[in-house]
Amino acid sequence: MEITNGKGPPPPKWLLNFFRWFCHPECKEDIEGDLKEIFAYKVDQVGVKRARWFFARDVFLLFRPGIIRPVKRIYSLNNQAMLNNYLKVVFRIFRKEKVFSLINLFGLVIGFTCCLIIFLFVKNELGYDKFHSDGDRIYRVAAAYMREGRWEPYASNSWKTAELLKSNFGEIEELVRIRTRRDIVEYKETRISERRLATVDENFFKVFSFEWVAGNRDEALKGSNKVVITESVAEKYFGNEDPLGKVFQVNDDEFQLMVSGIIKDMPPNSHFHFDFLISGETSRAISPPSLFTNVGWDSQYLYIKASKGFDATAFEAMLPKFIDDHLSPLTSGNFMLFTQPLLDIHLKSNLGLEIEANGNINHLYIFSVIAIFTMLIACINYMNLATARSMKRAREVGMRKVLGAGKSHLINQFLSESFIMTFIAILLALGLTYLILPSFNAFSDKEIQASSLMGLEMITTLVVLLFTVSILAGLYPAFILSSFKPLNTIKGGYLNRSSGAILRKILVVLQFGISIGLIIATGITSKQLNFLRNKDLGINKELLVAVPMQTMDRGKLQTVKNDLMADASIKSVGTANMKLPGWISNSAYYEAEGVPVDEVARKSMKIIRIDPDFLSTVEAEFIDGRNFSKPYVSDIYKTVILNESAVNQLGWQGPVGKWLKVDRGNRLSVIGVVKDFHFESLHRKIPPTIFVLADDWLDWMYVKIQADDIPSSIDHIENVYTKFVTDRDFTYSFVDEDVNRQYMAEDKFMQIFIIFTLMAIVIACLGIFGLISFMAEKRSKEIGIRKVLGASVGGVTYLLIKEFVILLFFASVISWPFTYFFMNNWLQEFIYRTSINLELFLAATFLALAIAVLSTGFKALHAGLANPIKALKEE
Amino acid sequence: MERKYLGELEEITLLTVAVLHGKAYGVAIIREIEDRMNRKVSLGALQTVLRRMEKKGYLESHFGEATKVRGGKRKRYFVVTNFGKKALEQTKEVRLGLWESIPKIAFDSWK
Repeated sequence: MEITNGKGPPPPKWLLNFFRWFCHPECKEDIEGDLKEIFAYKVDQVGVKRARWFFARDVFLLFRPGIIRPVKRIYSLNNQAMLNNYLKVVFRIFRKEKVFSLINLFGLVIGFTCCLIIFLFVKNELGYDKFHSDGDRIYRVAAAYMREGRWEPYASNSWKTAELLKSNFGEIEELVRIRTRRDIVEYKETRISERRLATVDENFFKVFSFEWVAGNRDEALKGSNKVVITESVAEKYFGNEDPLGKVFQVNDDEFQLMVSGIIKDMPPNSHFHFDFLISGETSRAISPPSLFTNVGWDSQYLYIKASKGFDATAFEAMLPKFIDDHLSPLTSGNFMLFTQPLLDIHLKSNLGLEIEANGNINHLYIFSVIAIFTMLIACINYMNLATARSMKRAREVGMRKVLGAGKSHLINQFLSESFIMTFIAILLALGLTYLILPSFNAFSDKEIQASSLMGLEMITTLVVLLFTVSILAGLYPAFILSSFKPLNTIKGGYLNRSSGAILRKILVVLQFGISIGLIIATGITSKQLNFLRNKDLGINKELLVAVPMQTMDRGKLQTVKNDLMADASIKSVGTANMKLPGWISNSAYYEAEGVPVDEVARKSMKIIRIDPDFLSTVEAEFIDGRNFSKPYVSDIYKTVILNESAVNQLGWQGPVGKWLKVDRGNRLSVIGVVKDFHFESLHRKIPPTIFVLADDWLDWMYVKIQADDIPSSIDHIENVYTKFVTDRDFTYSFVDEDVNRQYMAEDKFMQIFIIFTLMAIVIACLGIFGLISFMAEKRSKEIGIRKVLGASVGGVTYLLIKEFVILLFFASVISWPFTYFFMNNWLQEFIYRTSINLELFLAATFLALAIAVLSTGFKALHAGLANPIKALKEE
Repeated sequence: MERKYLGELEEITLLTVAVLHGKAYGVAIIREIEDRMNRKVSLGALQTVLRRMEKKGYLESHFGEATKVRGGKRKRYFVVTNFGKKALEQTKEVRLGLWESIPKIAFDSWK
């Protein structure tokens, strides 16, 4: 109850409270008096209502620098001094125990840096395709074929299917087809072999929202021979000229393209990137007619923008009937269509013939788990070292308690210590991340901006991390330390008892367990990768050069071969219609001798067209029959060679001499069977394959050379090549390198995995090192007495290490089954996979043991070697 | 000696405190200024000036007795210090100096 002069109303209470809150304590009383006096006067003069307004005005006018109290004084003086003292103690301890503090800090910094980088990476991966304005209504329609009882999914679809889908389903608002191309683009002197072209339907920009720079967005892709290019392409070809209306020559005058629009470069977080968008009408003129009628020609990527309220499940349920009604000869038994939400494509889609390599959501999970593990290990270090050192600070705690500190004060103190430590660690980690980011970007092919370190999301995450980690790391030590009995600590009784020893052991086991698990995981990952790289493909990939034939006249093939073979270093030359290693894109339905037609109706086989020298050049092994004979005439269109899988699919005994019809063609008689070999990557099962002899469509030449002088052999190939191909550049690659390149994604993944694992292990080692240093110190008197009584250096060292070794074995036992379970699951993703064997687990444990012994042994040995007098004389 | 320049409100406040001689506290000063100069000064502005000048040493203050009129809050009385007096004199001298330096002709032409 406010006392006024007895009469008159009191001033508004909340304003008064506000004033009391902000006012400098020194002038609180007299100004408040002034305020009240004025208020009482005003009440007399103008009445209560207006007096209140004046009062409010006065209070707010008092809210100014000269009157407001200093911010520092928010705390009462006493608390303020205590907090300053806590801070002082933190820095004193940091100075006094540099090693422990640095280990803590270093661990936290590394842990945070891992977390930050992984956070940025995950955020980047999750941000794909978010920029399309109706992204949630855009779907890709993908297809799957039944092969050997399994659905084999592809990202692409046919031109005709798209047309039929659009006309049959009203819920499809827009449907756009994309077909990727590679062409040689020419403007005046600039002539470049471009890889990122696509023909797209005219409504492309109604589905996708790419930023438009110039040209008419709605008209740009209407009509034929038009192209929309990106800004960087415009600059590359036209420099400062206005690109609109300029005309490109494509593939040496095969067709022309007029620039009708310019867009910004497609953002890095799009799941496809094209530089040239060619109007769909153009493909009418430049593609074979069957492209538009053959429902089995997977040439197009179909994207639909569905109407609002679209139900993908209901839509998919209608598709089998649609296939049976419209897509003959495909049936719902051997073919299916399904939808993929646009936003899921980057992380969840890993189909055949993806436009670009996508991300993998599992990697995100794995990396996030590693980040958490690293952080956990760092926190454990903090907890362990803090509790282990607790008896050193027991006196401080006792003294504080005697001087009146309550339990909550001490908890506050130790929590604020871990808070300060964590805060410093986060700042350092931010700096470190900033430094590392460019290399990480280069390494992971990402374009993560350093500015994203400062985003709101990041700051929120950091604040959450700051509190979680400082509480996680600091709470336990805070409770342990604050529960000391002051009398005991000052008497010294506590010095001989290590508090929290059991928990510390459990935490060390956890640390070791995580480390061992990570080592095993790394081992299995690299074993699998090596397995993929070194698995016998069934052919000889060494010293094999692949050359794209491009515009070479196929009629002169024999002459080319003869010219190549003229050099002694060339052992053999074969050709095929596919890139090895690569995707076998042709498949066909077949009829075969003695196999009921309805049984084969659902099955197909891959077809590879080759010349008589191909199989011998790659050194495929025949298990039955013979290769094609050299003079073409006798075998062409009459005979066929199968692989083992094909024979198994047919269920034939003694296949040579039986007949096979492919795509309702002639009967071809089987002349040979080759052992299964990997034409495609090991991510795919070897498909049943038919090799047919062909004299056209052969696009790739494989040249087997001798090891003596590889550069001169390549020179020779180039010389011959340029004689026959004058309008294209000579390019080549080594098949074994191409094979390894197929596993680049796994390679990258593994390298990142190894780096983070290493970090986790380093932090764990530091923690163990810190612990053992501490123990050696604590037990220095014991060690001294033991030595005086005749213990050997080795014995003392063993004494100190023993505990850790036992803990490590505990950790192994716990860690093994978990790791086995997870890694076995991971391996199941691979069709061809290595085995998990016990040796790997043992090796990991021994490695961990070696690391632990090395990191502790030095300190233990040091303790063992110390002169016992030094330890014993001090009291 | 370093010259102390007084701001306009500072000068008025200081003079008013001197005029009130021993009875100068917040509300009294405001009333005095209001009466003499017909000028409204907010409590906030005045208190800021008072504190600032106290810090600079022109003013001293002490608490009076608690009275019921002000809700039991004491008044803070301000007195001009010697240093404050010197500052006032200096300001006055500067003004007079300026006045005297005005050539007669300057104001004569107004007549």
